[in-house]
Amino acid sequence: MKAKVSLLALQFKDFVPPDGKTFEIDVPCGSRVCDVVNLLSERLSTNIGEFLMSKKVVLLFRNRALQYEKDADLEITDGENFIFITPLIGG
Amino acid sequence: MKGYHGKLLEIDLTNGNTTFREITDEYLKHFTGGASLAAILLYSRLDKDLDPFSSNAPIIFCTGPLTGFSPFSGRHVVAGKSPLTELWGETTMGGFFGVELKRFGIDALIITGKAPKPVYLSLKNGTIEIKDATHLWGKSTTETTFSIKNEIGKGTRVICIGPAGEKLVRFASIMDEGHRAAGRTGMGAVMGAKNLKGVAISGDKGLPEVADQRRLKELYSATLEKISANPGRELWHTYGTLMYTTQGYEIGDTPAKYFQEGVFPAFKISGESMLEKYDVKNEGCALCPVICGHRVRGVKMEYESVGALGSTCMIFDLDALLDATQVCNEMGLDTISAGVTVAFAMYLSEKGILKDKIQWGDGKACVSLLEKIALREEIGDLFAEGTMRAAMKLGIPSDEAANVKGLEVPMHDPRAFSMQAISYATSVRGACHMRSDYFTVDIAAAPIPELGITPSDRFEESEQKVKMMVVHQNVKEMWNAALICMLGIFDINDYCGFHTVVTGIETKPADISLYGERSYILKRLLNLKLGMTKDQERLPKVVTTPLKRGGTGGFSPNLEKTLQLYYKIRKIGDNGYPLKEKIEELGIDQFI
Ligand code: SF4
Repeated sequence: MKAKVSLLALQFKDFVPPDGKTFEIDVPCGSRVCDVVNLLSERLSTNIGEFLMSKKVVLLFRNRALQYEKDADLEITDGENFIFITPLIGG
Repeated sequence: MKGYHGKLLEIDLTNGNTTFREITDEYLKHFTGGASLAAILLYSRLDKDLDPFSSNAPIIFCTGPLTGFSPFSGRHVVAGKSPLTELWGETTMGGFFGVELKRFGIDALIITGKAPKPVYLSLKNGTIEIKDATHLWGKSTTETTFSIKNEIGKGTRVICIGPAGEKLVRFASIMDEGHRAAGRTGMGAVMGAKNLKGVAISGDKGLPEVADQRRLKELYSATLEKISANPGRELWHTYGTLMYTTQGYEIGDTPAKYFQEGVFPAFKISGESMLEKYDVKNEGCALCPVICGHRVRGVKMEYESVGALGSTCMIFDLDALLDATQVCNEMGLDTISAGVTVAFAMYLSEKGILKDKIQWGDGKACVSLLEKIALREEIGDLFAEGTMRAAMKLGIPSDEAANVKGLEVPMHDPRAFSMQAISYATSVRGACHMRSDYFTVDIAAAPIPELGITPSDRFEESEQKVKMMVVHQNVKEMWNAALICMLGIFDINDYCGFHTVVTGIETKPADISLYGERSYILKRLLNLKLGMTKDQERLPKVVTTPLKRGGTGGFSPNLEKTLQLYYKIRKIGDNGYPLKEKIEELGIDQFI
């Protein structure tokens, strides 16, 4: 199945082109949030899970900011959005 | 009271009289400073029939209890009756003026009357002079700032208006040193109506006494250390608010095409694109350890300007966007209201309602309309009135004019966050994204767990969520009373620590909410006195109609539901007035 990923966090800016931050990836059926995070970590050669645990990066999933330590095992469904942002305010 | 001078200066421009007066400790204890102090000081002077452009209309500049004492405390507030909303108007600005105002030996400066010819005020080392500004009338904000500095001397801090304020454009801004703006609610036009081009200040009295100087020093050093260890500091310094454009886009927070489109090339006007293409210089405010402002190609840029003059007008050409922003900064126009108003003109043009053709994305047409607005020339005269009045004059339904109570909707789409919608509907000054900026909670950027305010589903509209929003709105009220920068790396515990050592009043997070609640209810009473009705607490359809595409996922806020919850939680009756018991509980009844 597919997951739509938006890597908008500034911490990842060197890994993705400015106009290519949003893309789709294939993930196996029955995947959990952490599987998507691990897959992306491999692709970017950076530990995204660590960024999420330290709250330097926030993952918006199902319209809320995940608490990664609690929500990493949430099972996902086909076509869901994963938006990674830097949680600084935009006034 | 410690942390304040307990003094205000009033200047009547009609006759040149100047008076120093005491501010009672009772006011400061109950309302603290900044925007709340401004509201209580002006409460009895403002009424429904007062024309904001008349000589009787006062304008006030206030500092807060921490001004000059803590990091991020270089702000001040400008307030009075707004010519845009005809309700309470307040607008805060960073820069350097606030600290000098406090160092001048006062907590508030009230200006009344109307000078017979253009003037500026010089408040320097204890002397007060009203100086001729005939030669400055018509000049841009940068030229004016430089000229006044040349005349008064180095070390002077200057705020001024541009031609838009002189021409009484209802969303005219006031600029600090040409880079920080008091943009919202049209206070620049109130200055213009008084023939007041600017104020130059240099204080030699120093800051007032604090309760515990030793602890203040220790706390200051510890806070600076904490800020420099924060990894967000470097990112915020590098990108500032400009970093938000692409993030805001993805979650549907950044509006486009006059709030009618959810898909657009946001990366073209992103902070990263600007940093890549142009020479970018950092610029900060007094006492700021972050310095988040950016001059891009010499133009002061912020996210709100990018959204309002960029995507809302479908302008994705960076040079055109910078040109439009420069016009606003130099002519003294609020970039948010200006951008939304230009987008409104584009929307009307597309519908064939305007004879003038102003097409989406046409940067030159945008710049030309902004110049005409600032000078009130041709069609600009109509749009200088803002979207609410322009719609009325053209016979356009108010649901198509993107404002609340007359203040144009800013760049956080109310369809992206349910609580942003209710915040726009109920804020003390119309559609305001800082009173409260609840979206910052739901993106986990600035939750306040100390007061139970934590991130949750951004579309949730439960009673629990509205309760959190009410407390958040209270806290933001207090932030505007304290005049601490909302973009600073400074949380509620930091605030409490500084407030305690400066004023000597032991302060806890719950106290912040209480001060803020008092401020909100006071300003609500003031707005009701000025003619506000509950019916005005609504959003126009143009910003609530579900978008078919983009990051809002087709959400539309159910304001009917959340407003009912809001009124119940705030104890607001059917007539819009807070219940008597609430007013008494907060102790406001003894002051008004
Ligand atoms: S964080 Fe930015 S806006 Fe706030 S005080 Fe510092 S420079 Fe000014």
